Amino acid sequence: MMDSIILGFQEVAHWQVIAALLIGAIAGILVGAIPGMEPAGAMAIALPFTLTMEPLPGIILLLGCYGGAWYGGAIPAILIRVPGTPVNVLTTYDGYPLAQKGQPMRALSLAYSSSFVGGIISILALIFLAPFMAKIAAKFGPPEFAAVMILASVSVVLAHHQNIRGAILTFGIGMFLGTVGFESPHHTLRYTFDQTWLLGGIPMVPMVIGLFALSQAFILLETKSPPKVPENLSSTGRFVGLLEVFKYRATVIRSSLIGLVMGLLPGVGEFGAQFLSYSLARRFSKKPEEFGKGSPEGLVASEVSINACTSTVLVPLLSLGIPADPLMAMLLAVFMIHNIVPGPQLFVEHADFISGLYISLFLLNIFVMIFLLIFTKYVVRLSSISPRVIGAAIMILGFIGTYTQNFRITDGLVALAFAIVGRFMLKNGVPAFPMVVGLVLGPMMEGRIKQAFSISDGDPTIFLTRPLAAAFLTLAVVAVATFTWNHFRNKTVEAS
Amino acid sequence: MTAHVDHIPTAADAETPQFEDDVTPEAASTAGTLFWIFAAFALILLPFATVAGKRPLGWIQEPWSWPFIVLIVALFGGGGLVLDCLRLRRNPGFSAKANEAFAGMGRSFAYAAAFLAFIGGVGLIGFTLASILFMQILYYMSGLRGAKWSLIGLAVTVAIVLAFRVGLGIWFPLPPIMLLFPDWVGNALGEYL
Repeated sequence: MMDSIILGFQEVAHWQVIAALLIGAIAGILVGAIPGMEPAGAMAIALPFTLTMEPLPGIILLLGCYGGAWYGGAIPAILIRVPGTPVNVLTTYDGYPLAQKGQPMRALSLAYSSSFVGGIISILALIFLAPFMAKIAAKFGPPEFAAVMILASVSVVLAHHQNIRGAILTFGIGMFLGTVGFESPHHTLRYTFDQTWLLGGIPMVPMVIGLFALSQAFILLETKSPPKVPENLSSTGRFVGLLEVFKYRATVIRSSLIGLVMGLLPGVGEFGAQFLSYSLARRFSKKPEEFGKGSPEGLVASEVSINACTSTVLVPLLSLGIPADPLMAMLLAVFMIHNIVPGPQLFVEHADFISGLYISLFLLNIFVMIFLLIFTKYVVRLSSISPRVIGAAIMILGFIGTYTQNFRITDGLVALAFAIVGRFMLKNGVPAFPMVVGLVLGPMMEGRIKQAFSISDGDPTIFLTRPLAAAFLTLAVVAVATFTWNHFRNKTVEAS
Repeated sequence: MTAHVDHIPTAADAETPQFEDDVTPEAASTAGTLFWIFAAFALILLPFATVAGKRPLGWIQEPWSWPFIVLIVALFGGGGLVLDCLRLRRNPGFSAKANEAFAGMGRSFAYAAAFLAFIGGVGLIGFTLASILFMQILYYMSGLRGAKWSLIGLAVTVAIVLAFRVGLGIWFPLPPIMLLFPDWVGNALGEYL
């Protein structure tokens, strides 16, 4: 254990890692603090630059954008009642009324400390769960990997229960886009139509920049300015709020567990976790009537659960090599460009990287916490920046991001095409996340399924005769059956 | 995303429309139908966009099999949206509500056109000059007008150029416009343009 910790610190003690950690964390906080910007867009813009870095700094930069944003998102949610990121919507419920009672710093520092506790618990869970999952995954062959990918696909689709048909449609289209280019085992071309730029497939970087950054920029360019934040932020209650989280130990434990489990489920993540956590916190609270009117417990429930997801979402990626959402798909791209294959062997062959990752995640949370406690009064001013200024800047940053990977103008055109598609999807509630997951997961699934059929001489019963594969497929079928049953039962209740 | 909802949330709220932008069923089904048509078109192209395998390894190993499977999944899963669209067409006022799917897209296309011109401009006048012009155009189009906003736009562009072009040293080819000037101009300014 001590060896791993020392190894981790050795990995982190490089200026590139420390710089990536600081830049990523600050970028994440700023992204969260500016309403309208989302971590996915920031990660998409940062992705091309991380591909040229060493793996650990690259991953940490992206994780900084991701983790820092959930902390920063609480700032506008509490001060101006506008969630900094979509997952901070419940933070407005109790954070804003608490701030209106004259203690904005108490509310903010309570949100920070709750996020910190959730984040640290999440890292501890990652440290214990990922190697355990990897040991199980070491027994996997192609049928098991194929089956677990099918289960992950089902989870991603079912997570979009509000528009399940749209999710299946876009997931399928994403998987189809993943088939463009070279295929194996016959080494032929699919859907390239003699276009050389399509030989390597639909490029992921321009696609995610278009779908998540440029489409967001289109909307920001049409958005009116948010309300002004208070000019003079009183620091009263800063330390009261910081320690207050420990008064709600039961809520912290419950919300953490919910966050950890939700983080493990592909596609579910922070949004599902906070709703369940908030609703249970209210149910078990001694003062449920205060929820929605400035209850510190409600704020704790929301923030702890959001950040408890942030590291466990890495478990499926690190142990199985399965990206559960587009953010993980971007991390997978960084792994792949450096020939680091996530999965069971990662923990054996790259133990130094894994130790470094764990230590970096701890440091990331500590740095973000300290940074926010010191600089909150400056960061809050960013919440008032005109979204149109941000949108215009994203357009240029998006171009830089698409261009720098291959120095190809066509990548800019691909990004533009996906920006229009993404804008249309956002406008009409068509989920874009499944499309990116499909693009990344599709080729992996195709490869594993074909391998499974190869080793069984084309016999499909291999998926049923191998216990683990059969178990994963059974879980997938049960999940679909349960969802379908609930769906029709609800329809019947509504009709009657 | 709704900024605030005035009631106490529960887990069930995650499934309510209050947490989504208002999208009419007509617009949603029209949008879904467009994606469905794309998938159907891709399926029609399948025989022309793939070739048969070189060895008999079974149908599942054929190059066409996976795109066929995933497109069928997409078409089957999203088929309900098309049926919704066909059903809703009978309702009065369908066209107006369905057209809401495209509301605001005109502005997006205008920004996209500006972006396209920006991409072309980078190849012609270089990244820095194209960025300055593009930023000013975006500010104007989005309603940020006047000297104050022009200066802010210029400052933001200069900051981006300094960070990425000078700081990170991102390479761009020397713009052809430099051919109009003496060599020393290109040599002196090339790394900043």
